[in-house]
Amino acid sequence: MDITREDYQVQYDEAAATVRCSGSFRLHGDEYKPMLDLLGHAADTKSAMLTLDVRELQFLNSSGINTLSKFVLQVRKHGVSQLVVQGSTRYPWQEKSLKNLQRLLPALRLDIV
Amino acid sequence: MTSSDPAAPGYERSREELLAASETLRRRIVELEQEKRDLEVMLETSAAHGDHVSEMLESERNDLAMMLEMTTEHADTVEDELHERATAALLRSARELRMILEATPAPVMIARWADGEIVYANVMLGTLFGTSAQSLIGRKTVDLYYEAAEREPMIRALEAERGLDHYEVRFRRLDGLLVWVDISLRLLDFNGQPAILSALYDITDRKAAEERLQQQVEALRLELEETSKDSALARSTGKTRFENLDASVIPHGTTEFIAVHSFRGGNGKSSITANVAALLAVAGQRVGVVDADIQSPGLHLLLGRAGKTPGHTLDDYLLGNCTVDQLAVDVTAHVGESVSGRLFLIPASLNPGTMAQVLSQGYDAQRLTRSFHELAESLGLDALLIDTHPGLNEEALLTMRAVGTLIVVLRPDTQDFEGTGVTVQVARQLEVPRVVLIVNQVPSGGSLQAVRARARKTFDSDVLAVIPQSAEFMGFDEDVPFVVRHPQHPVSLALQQVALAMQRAKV
Repeated sequence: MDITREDYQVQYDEAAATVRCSGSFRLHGDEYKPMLDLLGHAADTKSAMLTLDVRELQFLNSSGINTLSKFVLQVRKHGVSQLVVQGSTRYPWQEKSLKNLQRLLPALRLDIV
Repeated sequence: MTSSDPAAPGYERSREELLAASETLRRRIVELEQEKRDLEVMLETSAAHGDHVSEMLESERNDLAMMLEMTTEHADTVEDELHERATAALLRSARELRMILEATPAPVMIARWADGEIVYANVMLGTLFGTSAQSLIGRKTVDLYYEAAEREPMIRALEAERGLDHYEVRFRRLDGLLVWVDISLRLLDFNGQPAILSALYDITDRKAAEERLQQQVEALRLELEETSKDSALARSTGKTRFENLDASVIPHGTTEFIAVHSFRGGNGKSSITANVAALLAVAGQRVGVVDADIQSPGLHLLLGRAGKTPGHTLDDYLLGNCTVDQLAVDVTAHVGESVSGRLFLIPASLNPGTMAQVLSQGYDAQRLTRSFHELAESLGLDALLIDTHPGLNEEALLTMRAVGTLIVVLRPDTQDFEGTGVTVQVARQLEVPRVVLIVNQVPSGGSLQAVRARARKTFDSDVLAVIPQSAEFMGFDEDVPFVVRHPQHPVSLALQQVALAMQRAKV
């Protein structure tokens, strides 16, 4: 179910209930659908703890943040998983944009290192 | 009114009937009350559902509003980040460009396309114009041209081609002196504005040398024409120190006359001459080698005559102090005992007094060229190799007129390429029948094939050999020719090609 392209990868580690994103997300609109399906699948497993690891995600465009927002809403809808988002200070956009995800899900835990 | 009331005959009902009607009404009332309660419940349910839906919609609306805000904020963040990165990259790129231009050993300037104002000049440009780089900034390029009108055709060509290479044009230094430059131009964006990047190369010395050479060649041509009309006429034109410049009357006969020349010294010309002569002797030919480098003779060192006082020399002959028969020294033994051919050396004088006399007084030019012919005849030579003094001096020009083949030896560097270009050009003007090249001292790592192709293309001449750099060859100091001692050495193999080409030329 993993997505591997030349300039980006999305991997779902079901055992660790973790989705890892890396590379540069520069897709447009519907091109994000496979990624949204993968994220939705992870949310639907309703594991007690669910981690979204974007520490190696260098670039994320507007459609990309929209896709992550939809994933957060899906987790909130189920209301059973503690969502943890892991980011990195190496990429300045992460500090500014990831904390906004907490507006959709105040219980979201943000670990930016 | 009662049922017995005669005034209401239609309403006469029995008691039972009335009770039944009453029961019916009661049930209907119960039903209506139930319906009313149901409706009330339904209303309440609908209202509750409406509230729920409304809440959901409100929540979704809030989510969407939040997502929109988030997306917008994220877009702003990324935009800022990209802008900062682009600005930093631009600054870095501009800084790197300046560093490169400062380190470039050629004068470089950048001028605005719109008005030709110089916005950047490196230190070398300042030096070229006899000022500081800073003082050139703000000036208009058109003011730097020797003739302002010379800029226009250049700019038109630049516009048409988007770039211009090796355009020769005149500039004026700030002290008024003329400076010839070879200029190459490119269009580029500098600080957000269209601009022209110019790289200049000072060719003033080359232009002056070309002009002098042209005059010299013209003078020589005129003299040759004059003396050809009357070869018995010995005269002095005042433009040359030769007294009788009749070089064109040499009959070549069966001997191959070969001049080995170079624009600069120290590129192995004499070593190549001596070794090719040795190879020809080994191949069975009777070969003569003339040390015509009167100013700095050295061929005797390469042919086993170091420290041995020559009997008579070319200088003595030119001064009229001996005959041609007294000149040749048989050095065949130096090549080897079993050599089937013969090798003769015609040495130049090492006596300072004699050298000075020849150089200061000059000599009968016809005597030099005639000596070649007489030597060939008296020694029965198959080939006569003439090792000339480097550069385009009068002996070299004279020798060129007297030979059938001119071998130009050069190193693969800019200065030699430029000088060789001039030499080849002059040789063609003097109508030398065959001009060929030997590229010597090609640095290790360089492609011999590429050097050969470049030389052939640059000079439009055959390249007889491309010889790799060899300290062993250049520093060889044994009492036997290098090609004999090391026949399988790459240098020897290359020189064998030259000897082979010389033999083929003769056939």
